[in-house]
Amino acid sequence: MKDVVPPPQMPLRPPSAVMRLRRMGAAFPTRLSFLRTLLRALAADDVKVSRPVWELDAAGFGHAVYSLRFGGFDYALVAVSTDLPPDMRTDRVIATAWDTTYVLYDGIPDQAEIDRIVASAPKQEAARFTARDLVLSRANKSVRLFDHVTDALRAGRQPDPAKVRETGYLMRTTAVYGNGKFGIADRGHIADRPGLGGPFMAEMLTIWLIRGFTHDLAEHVGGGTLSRAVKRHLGIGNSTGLGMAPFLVNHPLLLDAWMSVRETAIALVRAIPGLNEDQIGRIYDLVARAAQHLAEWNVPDEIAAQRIATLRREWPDFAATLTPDTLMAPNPVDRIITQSAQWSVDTQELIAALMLEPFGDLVDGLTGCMATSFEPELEPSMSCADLCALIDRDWDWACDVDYDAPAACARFWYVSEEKLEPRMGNRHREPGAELESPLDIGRQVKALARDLTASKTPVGLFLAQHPRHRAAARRVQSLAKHPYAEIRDNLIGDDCLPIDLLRCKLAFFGAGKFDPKSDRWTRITLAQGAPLFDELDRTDDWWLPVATI
Amino acid sequence: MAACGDDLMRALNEIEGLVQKAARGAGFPVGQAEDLGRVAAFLAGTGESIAPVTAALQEPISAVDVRWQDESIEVVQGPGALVGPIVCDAFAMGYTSAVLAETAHAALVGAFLAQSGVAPKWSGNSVTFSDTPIPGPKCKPVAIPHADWRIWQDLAAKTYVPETESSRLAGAGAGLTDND
Repeated sequence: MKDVVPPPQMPLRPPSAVMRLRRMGAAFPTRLSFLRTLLRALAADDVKVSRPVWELDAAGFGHAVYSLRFGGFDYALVAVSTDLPPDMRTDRVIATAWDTTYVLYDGIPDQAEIDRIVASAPKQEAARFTARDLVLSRANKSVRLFDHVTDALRAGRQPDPAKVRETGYLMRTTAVYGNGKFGIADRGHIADRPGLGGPFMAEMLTIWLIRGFTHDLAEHVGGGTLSRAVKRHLGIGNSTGLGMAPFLVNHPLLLDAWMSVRETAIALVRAIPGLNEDQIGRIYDLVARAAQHLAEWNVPDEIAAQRIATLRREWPDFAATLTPDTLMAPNPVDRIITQSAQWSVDTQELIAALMLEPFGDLVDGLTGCMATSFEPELEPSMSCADLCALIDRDWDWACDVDYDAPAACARFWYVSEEKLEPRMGNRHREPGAELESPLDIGRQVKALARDLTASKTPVGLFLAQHPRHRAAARRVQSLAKHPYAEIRDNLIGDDCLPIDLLRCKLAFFGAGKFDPKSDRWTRITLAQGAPLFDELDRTDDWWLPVATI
Repeated sequence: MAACGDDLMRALNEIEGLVQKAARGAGFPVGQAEDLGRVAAFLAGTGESIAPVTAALQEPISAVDVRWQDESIEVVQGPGALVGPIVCDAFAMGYTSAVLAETAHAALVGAFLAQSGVAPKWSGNSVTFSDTPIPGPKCKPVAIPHADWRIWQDLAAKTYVPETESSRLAGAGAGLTDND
């Protein structure tokens, strides 16, 4: 058996820098993002999507079924389109009716199962589902663009490219539920299946299939055919609010896996000793593409717009540093990433994401490490002295905060009684803080540190006397082994912006065109530029999609 | 949630999540709530009764009194949801037996041990461990008795904050309609 020599690798960027909210909130999609990973797997498996059922009336109401075989298993998307009165249309998760609803089904549904899903999917959370249902979702039309596209097709024209570019999708999903919600299958049911083992793969498959349905629906209603270029540029929108934010806090080992893989990939490309002409040409192409993407990324939010303006201003300066001499010098990627420190955090993260793109052979295999079946475990035999040392080493960002100061505890997270959804309140102005959700990780660890003495007493004995510190002790021990497991900021401080949490997670999904609507919800676009159902053999080259229409 | 007079099939993730919330609603600390959620999913996934979990959630919370001896611990008092993790920790630390104050806690403590990979071996109130292999949970829908589910829901509801229109708007940060 031959020894496998791992490729050379530079040091990882430290968690103390990577895991700050501001930097997480500057994340861009990469080739490691889940949707990219899924589409590579679909292409490798030569997946064919068929549409065995299309029962829609002339106005586009009814249902359809798409089916595919992937990794040796059959799956189907059941799509239900209903007539939604305008006064019931809202992107908020609290809505009770939607233009379209979906179930990703495990297998090929027979008529009875189709009938069941057509009856239950439109009710979403108000219905119960079965373990044959893998993902539950819904989407609303972007009314302006959907109507424009269908009107254009009826008139025998393609839609106005400017309008397509402006919105970029025909529908927005407002929730994509997986992993056991409302009775659907646990993730464990599919976690060992080829192609669906990575994080959120079933959800990404659902999104890609929904995107194809939106194209078909528009063509059906409009009675014409959209050009491939238009369809490629029509991704699927998404509105995401606070419901997604606690996920990263509640799944620390998963967060560590995602971050560790991305950072390992960056460390691997930094160790590349030299670039060939093709790689240099590719980097130039990607830098130009990023510039166009930035030019097409227009948002009304003032803070986001300022950050995009900074990116646009800095990008040509960065591009100017990429002289042939720089790119042909030794260790060019490491130099580029090291020197990126001179730019804003947003530009730094865009450069890091870009530098992964030409090196799929080197980094794509890492995506197999982005899922984890492990949970944080307590080590009760550790001495309290060792636990103290870990806190001293890793948790200064938590222990240096005075949580009694009004600004440092201004926020509290809670679950709303009405919709059982996470919310964020103002501790000093709103009721309910006594019921807050335990996302105050830093404050919990500081409280642990206060009660702990650096003795030989095992942590297990200490916790028997101080049971309230169990969660904090476990997190401290977990962080020692999983350095990217914690968001190293005060999540109850008045400067905590949930939008940063959302963007980090959504970038891992593969989202782009972040369009914040406040500090706690955002619109995004997924699958823009992605291959269509019959284009999976196209080159995997849709990072930061730009308009070609 | 649909009205449910029958025992509905539940996903393990649903069970773990709801029990964790219920334990918080019952007043247990975060770490023990996390552990109890995991134990509930383990019991459900291995086909065992989840009744010990419901009992633990309804038990009054009192101070724990545990005596640590050379190789054994003696639980003098404390609710099962706090005692279970302590016994697990003790076995992980090399203690070889535990004596419970409450016979009624045996099923729950046994579930905590099994979930942590230790096969419990009972003699009255005293537990040691054996080499018996422990079957892992199977990922499949599980019927949870409606009465238990209702108790879990009611306790979980104690962590929910009633909304006002202003808090809803401020908390979610979005408007009511979105028609573009």
